[in-house]
Amino acid sequence: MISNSAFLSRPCRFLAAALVAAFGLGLSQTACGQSATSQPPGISATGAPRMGGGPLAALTAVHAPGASTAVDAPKPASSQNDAGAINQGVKMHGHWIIDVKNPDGSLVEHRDFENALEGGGQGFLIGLMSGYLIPGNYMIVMGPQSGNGACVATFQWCGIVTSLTTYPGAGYCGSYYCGTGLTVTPNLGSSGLSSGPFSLVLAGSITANQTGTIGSVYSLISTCANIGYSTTVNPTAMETSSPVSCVSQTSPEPWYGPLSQANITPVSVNSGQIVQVTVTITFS
Amino acid sequence: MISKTVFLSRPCRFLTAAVVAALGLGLNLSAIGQSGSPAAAPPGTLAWGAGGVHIATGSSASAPAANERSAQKGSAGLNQGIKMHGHWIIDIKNADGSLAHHHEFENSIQYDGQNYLIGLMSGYGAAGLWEIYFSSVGAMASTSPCNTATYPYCAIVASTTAQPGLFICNGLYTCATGLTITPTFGVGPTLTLAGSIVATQAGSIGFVGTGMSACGGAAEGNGFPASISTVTPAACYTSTTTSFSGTATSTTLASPIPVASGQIIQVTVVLSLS
Repeated sequence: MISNSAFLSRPCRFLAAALVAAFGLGLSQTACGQSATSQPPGISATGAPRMGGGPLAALTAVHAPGASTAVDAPKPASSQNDAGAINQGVKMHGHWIIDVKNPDGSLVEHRDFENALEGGGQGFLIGLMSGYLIPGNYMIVMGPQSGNGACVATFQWCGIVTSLTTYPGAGYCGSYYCGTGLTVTPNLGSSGLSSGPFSLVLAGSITANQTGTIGSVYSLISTCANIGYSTTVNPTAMETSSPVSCVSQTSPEPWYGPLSQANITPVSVNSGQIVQVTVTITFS
Repeated sequence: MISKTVFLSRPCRFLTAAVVAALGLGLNLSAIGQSGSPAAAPPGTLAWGAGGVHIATGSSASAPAANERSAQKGSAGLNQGIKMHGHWIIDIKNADGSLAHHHEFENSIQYDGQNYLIGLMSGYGAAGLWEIYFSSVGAMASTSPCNTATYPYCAIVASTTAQPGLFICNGLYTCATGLTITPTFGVGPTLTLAGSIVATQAGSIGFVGTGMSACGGAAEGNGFPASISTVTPAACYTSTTTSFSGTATSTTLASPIPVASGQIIQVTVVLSLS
C-alpha cells in the first residue's frame, strides 16, 4: 500500500475501479468495526475489490467511472466531421440475476439488473484486444452498501470463484468469504459460424454466513501480461503466454480487478440462505 | 478455387471470406464488370459479400441485449452499458505530403466483432493482427481508390505473411503494409490502428472497416474453438491461421471522400470504450 501514490501518478486506467467505493463507503465500513489498514492488494479500505495493489488516494473526477464518458469519448474535429457517417458504438451489457433462496430451495427474492463497466474494465478490454493481456479466471463479488453484508470474513463481502488458489480468488479469498463453483461459459454462436447470441456467462452461488444485505456487486477478471502486476509500469509488449496458462497462473502476480460494477437497492439475506448469481455479458 | 474450398473447411475465419465473393461475385464481376451492391452470403457461413467485403451471415447482425424483467428488476441497478467507439481519422495527402482533405467520423461494431470480444474475454481466442480496409460506396471498381486486385478494396495490414494479410493480400485486395497496432492504458485506454496506402486510381472512400483476428484451438460444430486457447497473442501475430476473423467495425460514409490517383491515404482508427 505504500506504493499507492505512485500508482495513481501513472496513467493506469485500471485503478479507477473501486475508488468511489473506497471513498464513499470507507467511512461507514470503518464505523462498522472493520479494519481500514489491513487490506491486502486488490482490496480497498472498505473491503471492496479494486485493481490488484491499487491505491486509495486522490480520486479525481477523471477517474470516476461515471465521469469517464465525457473525458474518454473521441471528439471529432467539428469543422471536418463527417456528419453522415454512422455515428454509433457497440454497447457492452452486464446483465445480473440474483436469486436468494432458502436452504430448501424455495425462492425468497429475485432481482435482475444491468451493471456498468468499471473504469478498469476498459483497460482490460483494450489489453485483450491488443494481445497485451490474456484472460484468466473471473470472480463475482457482492457486499453491502453499509452495515452487515451477507458474508463476513475479514471484510463483509462474498466472493464466488472457480478456484481459491488462483487469481482473482487468491487475491481476495483470504479476506472475503468465498465459495467455489463459479462457471465461466462463452457462447460463441449456436448455429452457423457467426450466428449469435454471443455472450459470456458467469454463474455460481454462495451460502450466506451471516444476516445482512447485498447492495454492491462486482464482476472481476484476472489477466496475465508480459510483466507481473506493477505499480509503476503497464504491460509493454505482446503477451507470450496463452490464455490456458493464465487460468492457473499464480506467479508473477496477474493483473486483476473489477470489470463491472453496480449498486442496487439492497437485497436482504439471512444467514444460511443461498445466493445464486448469474452475470451475462453481451454486446449489441 | 479448389484450394480455397479446402481452406474453408478449417477454422480460419478470414479465409472463408472471399470464397463467396470469388464464387458469387465473380459472376457479377464477369457479367457487369464490377461488383454489385453488398449482399448477404448464404446463412450459416462467414464470407465476404458482394465486392469482397468481409461479412458474416446468419442471424448475427446483432447480439440480443439483456432485457430487464420489469416486474422484478432491481430498480437501483445501473442500467447502462459501455460503448465501444471506433473513431476514424482519414487524411488525404498529395504526393508531396501536403494535406488535401481531413475527415473524422465514428463507426460501429459489425458482424464478428461481438463474438470476437466474447472470444477474447473467455480466453477461447488470443488476439492477433488487425487490418484496415476500405472502398467506395458499393465497392465499385470504377470508383474505388484501389483497383489492382481481384476486388476493388484498399487494405492496410501489418504483415502479408500472417493473417489476415496473408489471405487478403494474396491478390484479393490492393494492400499496403506498415499498419501499427498500439494500445494505451492511460486514462481512457485505447487501441490505435494506423497506416497508409497510395491510391492506385482516382475514386472515393465510401465504406471503411476494421478487420480483426484471434487464435484458438480446434473448432467445434459452430466453427469456433471449444476450449481455452493454448496459442499466445505473440504467436497469433505471426500465425498463418486464425480461429476468429472478420469485420470488427465498419461504416458507410454519407459523403464519400474524394481521392486522386497517387494521393496518400493516411488512416487512423482509435478504438475506445466509455
